[in-house]
Amino acid sequence: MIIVIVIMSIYAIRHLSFTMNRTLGEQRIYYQDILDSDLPFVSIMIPMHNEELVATQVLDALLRCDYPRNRMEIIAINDHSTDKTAEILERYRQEHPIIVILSRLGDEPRGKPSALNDALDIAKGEIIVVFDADYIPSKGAIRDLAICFKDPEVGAVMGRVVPINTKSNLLTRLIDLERSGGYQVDQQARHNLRLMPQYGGTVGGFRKKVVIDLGKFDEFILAEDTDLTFDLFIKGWKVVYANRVECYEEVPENWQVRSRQIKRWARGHCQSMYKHFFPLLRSPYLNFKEKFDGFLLLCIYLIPFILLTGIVDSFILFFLGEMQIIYSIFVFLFVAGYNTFGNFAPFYEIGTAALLDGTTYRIRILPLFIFYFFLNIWNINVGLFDATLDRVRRRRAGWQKTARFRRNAET
Amino acid sequence: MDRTDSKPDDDSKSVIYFHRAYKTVGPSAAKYSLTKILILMGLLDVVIILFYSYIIDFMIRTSQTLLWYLNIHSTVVHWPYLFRDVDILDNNAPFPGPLFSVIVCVVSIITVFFLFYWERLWRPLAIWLGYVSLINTISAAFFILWPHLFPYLIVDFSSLYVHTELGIWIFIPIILGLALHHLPSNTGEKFFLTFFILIYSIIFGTIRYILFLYILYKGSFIFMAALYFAFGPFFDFIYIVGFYSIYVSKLAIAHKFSLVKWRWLF
Repeated sequence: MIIVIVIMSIYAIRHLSFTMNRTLGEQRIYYQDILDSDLPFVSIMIPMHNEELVATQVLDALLRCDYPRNRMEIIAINDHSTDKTAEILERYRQEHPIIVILSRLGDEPRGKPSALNDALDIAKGEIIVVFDADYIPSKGAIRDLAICFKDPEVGAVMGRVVPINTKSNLLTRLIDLERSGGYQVDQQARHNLRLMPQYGGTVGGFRKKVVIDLGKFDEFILAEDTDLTFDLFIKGWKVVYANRVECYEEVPENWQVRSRQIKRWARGHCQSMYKHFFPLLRSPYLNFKEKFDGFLLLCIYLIPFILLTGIVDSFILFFLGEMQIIYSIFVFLFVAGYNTFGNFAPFYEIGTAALLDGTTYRIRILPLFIFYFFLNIWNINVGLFDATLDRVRRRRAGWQKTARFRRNAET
Repeated sequence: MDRTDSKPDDDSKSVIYFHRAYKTVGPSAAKYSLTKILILMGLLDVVIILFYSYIIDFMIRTSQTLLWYLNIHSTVVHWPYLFRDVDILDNNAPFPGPLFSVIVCVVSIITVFFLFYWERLWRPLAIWLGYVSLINTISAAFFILWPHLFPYLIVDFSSLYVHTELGIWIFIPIILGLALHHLPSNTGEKFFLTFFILIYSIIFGTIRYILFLYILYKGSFIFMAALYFAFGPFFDFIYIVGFYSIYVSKLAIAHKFSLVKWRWLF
């Protein structure tokens, strides 16, 4: 119980220091002020599996971008689609020569890591920018993401994700708040403090050569983004966060889809944890501060497991009649509540982020995170269990696509 | 053209928004804020520690009176805690019989399955209710298998509850001091909010204590674990975060424009 309380307290201090840094500390700005006419050639990759509801919008948004047309290509990856995605892509390719279609059919394994690996083979750009199909990038996003690679230390960049369907229902509003805390405070503070901002797999970019040298994406890992983040840091590269680069995404509108998404993230993140735990601690390129933050980041999906252990411990002590120890349970429950009320970002981090974002009335649903919290404890523990089995049995996890909800899309 | 001809007559220059990406509260707004607020919250904690026996006494006397109206006659027991004895309530409660334990166990298991498969129910609420039912299942199973080993009486539960409440009151100023100190408002306001939540907690804790003792008196010891683990200290975070969120929301409304005014160079 004491160990659990200590671990939870460390995470609480970590998030509190992020919140203080973001509100009171000096902000480390991004590279958007760099003026350079010699922009790199960028290959924009969009993995797509049955994306007829959203395909046109992401392509239209990318075609509206202000990046020079002769310095970019759009690689639309049709990953075993069975709907009208292929027809939509073909129509766009005929109208816009900068669009390249990579069709993945037959026995090739489906999934984002393998799709990206195939696309790397045909990409002409030295810089790769990735968007999921349900994303709508802003007009200046490509330039803003690509410009940071003028810094020779930068291996990858991550932009900010903003939900587009926030007003759909309570779940989307909760996710919006959670995203706000995660990006506006957490990622920016890690960028400010030169810790480990995370490449998130979409609205982000990386150097093609570096990823090829690393052996491309590990197709056994569901969270290719976390995997790449740690691969890069361990090898001495930096990941930077561009809070200025906002991109709209569609978030799940029902709890079943959200639960599956959380399970997949948890499973993928824990697979990365098993893979990178010791290499991270041994890396000669990282200082103690980076290693410590990386360690906490790598183990963050263990928190629900630790909490569950604490709760089970409490039950056992309760029925064993250990009243003296039971007195200390409220400490555990309070530290747990203080730390994890918002699951991925504690309540004070979310509140602060919402304030900075100018969110007003939506903040008032913050107490409802307690129910969300119990749901996530369950889903993340299932994900952790799956990742452990993947490790033990050396099995390949099947890719699960997140369902889309967009209405009135041109198909 | 004269410069004044092109000068806008509205106030547009003062409200040109800059991007939210690098907006901060700024160190000047929170200068010494952490120190000030921690001193104030520390003082609040000192007051609680000095006067906790009086606060608990208020809680116990109020609960005893209200329970008396509900035909539950409790006695006051002195119990040692920290620096001095505190008063707690004791009363009788039925021990669950085998049949009652089996019924509670079966109903709880059915509820867990029902909640698992009832897809139309709001999923997080289903998980929460499933959690409560699961605790009840474990508790009922305990009373079926080892009823003689159940280690508590009402006086033990009272002691646990009252001591937990004291812990919550001590924690509230610490938690809110840390969660509020960096926000762009004055220290007095933050102190007042914390004090208000503390008073709310004392009243809420008293009402909940009465409710818990009433449920245990009417329902038996079998519900003790669920009451403590599902509606105990973790539940207090709902109103703490609730008041915090209302406060931040009001701050966000008040600062929506003032925080984003562009500082012109000329």
